[in-house]
Amino acid sequence: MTKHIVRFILNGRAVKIEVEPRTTLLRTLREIGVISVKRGCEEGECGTCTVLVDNSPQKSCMILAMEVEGRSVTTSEGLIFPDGELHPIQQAFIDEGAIQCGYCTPGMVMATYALLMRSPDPTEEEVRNALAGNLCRCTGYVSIFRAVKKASAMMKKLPQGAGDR
Amino acid sequence: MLAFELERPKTLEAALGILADNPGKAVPKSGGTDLIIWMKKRTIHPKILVDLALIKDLSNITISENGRLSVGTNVTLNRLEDYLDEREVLPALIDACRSHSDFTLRNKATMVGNVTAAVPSGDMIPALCCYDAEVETASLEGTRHISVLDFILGPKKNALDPGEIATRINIPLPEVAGTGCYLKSTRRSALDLAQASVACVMLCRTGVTEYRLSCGAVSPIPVRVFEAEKMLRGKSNLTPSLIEHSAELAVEAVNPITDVRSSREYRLQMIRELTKRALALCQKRIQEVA
Repeated sequence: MTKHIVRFILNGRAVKIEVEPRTTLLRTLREIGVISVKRGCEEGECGTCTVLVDNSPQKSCMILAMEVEGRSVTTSEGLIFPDGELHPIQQAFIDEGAIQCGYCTPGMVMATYALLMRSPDPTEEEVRNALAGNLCRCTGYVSIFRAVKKASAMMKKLPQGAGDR
Repeated sequence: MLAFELERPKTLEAALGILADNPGKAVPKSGGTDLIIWMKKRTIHPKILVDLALIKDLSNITISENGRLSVGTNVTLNRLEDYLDEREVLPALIDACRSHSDFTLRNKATMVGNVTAAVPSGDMIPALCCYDAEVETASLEGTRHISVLDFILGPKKNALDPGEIATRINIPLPEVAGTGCYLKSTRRSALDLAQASVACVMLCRTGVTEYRLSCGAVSPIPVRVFEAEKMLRGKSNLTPSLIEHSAELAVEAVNPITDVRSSREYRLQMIRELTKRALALCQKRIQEVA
């Protein structure tokens, strides 16, 4: 099958990749080494492949790579500050023990990032609603919700816009 | 997924041309949250996938001068929900948007796609039936307007002809005050298909209160419970016996199957219960508005 070139912005950097039309964004990202994006169900159910496309959280198993032509894709790698320091959301997940096996974590982090960008101080209901599409099978959700609350508080202490990636 | 070619036309004419030139081989896609799964399972294997996402004319929501809301095929459920919520219109459809899959998928899934998929549990279908919505289609032969009730012919069967695309869903906005809701029975509250669902719309015309009831996931084709609607017409105060009788009529109007999500018997019980709850919720909501 014919391969096509797809060009998009990945974590702030322009990339050009050769893909088959059937290749999903998830598989493309993993092939080029962006392995925070996990392959879970690949049916849009589990949410561990969640990335941001133009700031909108999306399940990357449900998107063909060619669909992100000219768009901006952000993954958990892209949240890390240039000096290597973790983003407050990532740090909060560690601090609150919201990680066990870690497989769901990158998706949880990206869904949380999208939530805090649109609602910096979310209610419990907003948090649950935003993470409803992300399944965790080991930690349980309580520590994850706690991490989101903590991340929200940590991000408020940052200078305006410093947490934006 | 089996290999295919992807076309991303920028105009509807170009998309229709590709479909007409490749009969039986080309399949249109808007959000694709259903289609991509079927393609991964190899139930559907198009030679050419026609992505409609870049067609701007199909990406907008408009309200015409005569009060008709028109939603393009590329409009995601989250965008639709925000639009309706901001304008405080079509409450049953807002509920339906919120009940569909989860927040992240609703950034990709579309209402037109949900109806075109024609799955009996499609969350948008009962509310659209209550609001007398119609599907607008386009092909090289021209456009057609088909009511949602007539558009769905059976599980995964819709009224689209080969080479025809569902371009929009049009909904006449009620001219009178009213309310509505959509209630759904599921095993978990997100990311689950309905075991049974009920949409209810209440319209307060001067002197005459009107009701519309529609059930989901309990019949191969969409169901409006016209018998209950007739019985309830003009009744502004919903007494327990009226509600009970309506629930009975709803149960008589549906014909569910037993499948992996629940049994026929459970679905019938849920239709009875959801109908009662939906009518009671409408009554409560209308009092809050008044």
